[in-house]
Amino acid sequence: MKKILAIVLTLALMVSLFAACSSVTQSSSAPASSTTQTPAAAETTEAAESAEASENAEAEAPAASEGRYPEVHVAVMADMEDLTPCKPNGTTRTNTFWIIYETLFDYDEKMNLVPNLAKSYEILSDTEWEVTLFETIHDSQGNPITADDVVYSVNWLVDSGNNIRYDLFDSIEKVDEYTVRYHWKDKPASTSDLEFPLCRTFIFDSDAWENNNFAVAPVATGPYVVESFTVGSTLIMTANENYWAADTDEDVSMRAAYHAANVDRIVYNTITESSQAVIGLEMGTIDFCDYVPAAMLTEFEDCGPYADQYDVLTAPSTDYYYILPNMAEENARVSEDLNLRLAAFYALDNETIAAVMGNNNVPLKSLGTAAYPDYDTAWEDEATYMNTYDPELAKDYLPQSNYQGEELVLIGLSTEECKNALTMIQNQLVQIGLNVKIQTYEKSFLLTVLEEKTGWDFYVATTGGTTLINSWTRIISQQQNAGWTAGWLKDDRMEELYAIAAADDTHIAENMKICLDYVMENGYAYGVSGWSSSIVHSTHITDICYREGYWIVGACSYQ
Amino acid sequence: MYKYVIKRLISMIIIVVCAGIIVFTLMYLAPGDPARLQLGQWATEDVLAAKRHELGIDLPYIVQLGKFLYNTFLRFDFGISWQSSMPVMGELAVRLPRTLMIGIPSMILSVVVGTVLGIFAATHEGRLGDSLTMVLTMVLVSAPDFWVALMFIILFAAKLGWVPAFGIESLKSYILPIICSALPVMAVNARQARSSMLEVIRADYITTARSKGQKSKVIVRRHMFPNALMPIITGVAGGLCKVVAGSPVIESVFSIPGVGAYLLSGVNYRDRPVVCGCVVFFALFTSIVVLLMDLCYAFLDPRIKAQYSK
Repeated sequence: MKKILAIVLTLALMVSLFAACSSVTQSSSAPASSTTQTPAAAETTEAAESAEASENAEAEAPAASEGRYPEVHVAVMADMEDLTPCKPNGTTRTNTFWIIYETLFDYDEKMNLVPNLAKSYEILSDTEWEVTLFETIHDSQGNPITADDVVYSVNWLVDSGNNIRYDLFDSIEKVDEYTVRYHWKDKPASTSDLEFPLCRTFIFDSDAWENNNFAVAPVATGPYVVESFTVGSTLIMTANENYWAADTDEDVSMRAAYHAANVDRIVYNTITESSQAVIGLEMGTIDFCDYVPAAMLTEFEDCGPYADQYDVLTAPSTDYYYILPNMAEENARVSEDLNLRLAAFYALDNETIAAVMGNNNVPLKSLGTAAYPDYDTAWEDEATYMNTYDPELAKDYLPQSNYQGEELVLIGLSTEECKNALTMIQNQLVQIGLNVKIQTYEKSFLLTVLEEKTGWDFYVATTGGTTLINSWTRIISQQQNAGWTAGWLKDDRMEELYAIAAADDTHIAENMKICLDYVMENGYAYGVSGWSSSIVHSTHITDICYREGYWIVGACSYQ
Repeated sequence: MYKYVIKRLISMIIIVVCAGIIVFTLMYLAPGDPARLQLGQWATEDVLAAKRHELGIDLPYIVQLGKFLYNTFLRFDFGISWQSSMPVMGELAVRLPRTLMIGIPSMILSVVVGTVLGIFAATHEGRLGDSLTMVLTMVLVSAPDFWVALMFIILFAAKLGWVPAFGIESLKSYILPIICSALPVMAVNARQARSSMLEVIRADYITTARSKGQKSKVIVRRHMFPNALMPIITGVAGGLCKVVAGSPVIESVFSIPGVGAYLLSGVNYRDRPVVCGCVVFFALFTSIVVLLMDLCYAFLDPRIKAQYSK
């Protein structure tokens, strides 16, 4: 009897292990009641089932306000770490910080400054700007936000050492209760030069900062307040019932629409594994996820087993991969050999490279993606090495170069996506007779390697930004690396063309095209692939709200 | 005996300090610029230099090491995380209970079930029960823990809906991580217990007990088990040491913000205070566990106690 029992138990355990290997899609009608319910209903069931903490949280949460969707669960891949109002350096932080904190200005679609906490600005001189605040701003605890708080917030950021891209900033002073004056070191060439001081610096009350731990419980002016934050696990936000812009009698109609709270409660679940996030979607415990693996998207698309509960939205992202040659004088074999660079770039087929990279990478036809407001699709019509794979032409260029079979070092990130790209690039370069070695590094080490002018020949990297010209900063502007580009390029003509294309008055497609043509002529960069993010979201979300390419769950439309 | 304990305590302090120095030096030598990592690709050299100064990483190695040793061992302050700006000690205090919530039940489960399975296999040596137990333990030892975890999630969370797939919202969230952490250790314990028991089973005093007509259960309980206990204690102590360190894999798969995930994130971001703080804490805990294990040996085996007394 004991033997039989032992055999049965052993077999049961092993069968249970291997049974789980079978496809999930085959059993989507499985007993888990939540899978057949709408996501919202499933959440309710799950919450009811899952005990103490949830119940307490539910009890403490405000009742759903009329017109707002009650609760949405969002899967995020990266943890927020802390909520201190310094520069957000990750997508998750951007998405969440922008609904907690507010800045003086926002950008509209044409990259003009539009009011946020500030209602207007006046240019007093080349180096002095005066910014006037709305007079009825207060944070979620009711503390009024005045010029003193703006000065405090800006100086705090500078003192904390997180003042990224504050190159033009000199100082700030209070003029009156609701007016501050910025002093710039030089005349800003365009409003994008002031992106970080005016549109990325969060403003908060100085007393609130002293009396609260902003790392976990920030007090700010945004449409959402933090209900609870468990580092590495969940961030729960509720609509700010005391939102200043909702009950002000000032004219705030010029403010952007994404400062809205269309859902009562947002629960961000940190789920680092994409497979886990997919399970969360299948169980109905997640309503929104933007990192479902491409192979799993069919589960949620039309005809998929979860198509009745979810929609899939694929949208091009502004982030893209590019290749930079090492243009340092010390690396003459590449920097002084245009034929070698052109041979290498004509030998690349970015369609194949993008295909092996996976994760919804799409090949670029020019240096940037169509997601940018200042990208011109007409650029794609002209044949360049970015949209023309021509190994024969590459083989023509190669003999004209000084290349003698030396080993070229191709470097990039050690992520799976980048490694796939590097391998394919290496294969394609080998086809025309280049001897290429790959070296991959973690992000922290890669930036250190790039600071050396030797030791590498080509670099595969990513960039992004609010505008295309902004994204080119690191690629072709010599202001970003103490007089050089990230690829150690020093070319006065390039800098001049970039400055013209970047300046507000001359930021037009024609000037960008001139800039781009110069890049192509000289083989300064190669656009590899752009990301297109696929969002799987509950059918209760009818319209995704984007801000500068980042989704804002609180401002989405719900039914 | 007291002398022995005092000697061990002194050596424990030296070991922990050495562990601190080694991990600090390794992190100091590790490539990568923490300032660049925090501020990103847009940061200019001026801003980076200011950040390096703020973090104190522009100081000479010996000064940095001195500050670290002083703060860690004299002020019991592990410093502030470079990544999150939160005190490392506070973060450990918050995360440790979650790791222990998985580690302690997992250890108990693996020891109890593993030992019982091992005894069962040893007492049924060469028979079907023994073979099945060994096959099962071999599978569990060989299967990667992330794979087992994912299979369990698909079965028990996605298909059956019995437990949540991730998070720490309720006690039910800890069931799968506990089982998944316990299974491989349980298998190792079972194999360890089996071989220990088999060594004892052939001893003369067992033959004597049998020839005297002792019942099989009594022989196992009174003669075999206590003598086979030593290697099992070693295994338990090893498991206990791992309990506080957590399992980065299990914590990542189940999205549990524990100590293992914290250390992993610290390593990824070159967050020296986090890595050094965690390692010193683990070294301290491990030293204490090893000391307690040695005392247990003395308690269980009079021969070892006599050696300590010398």
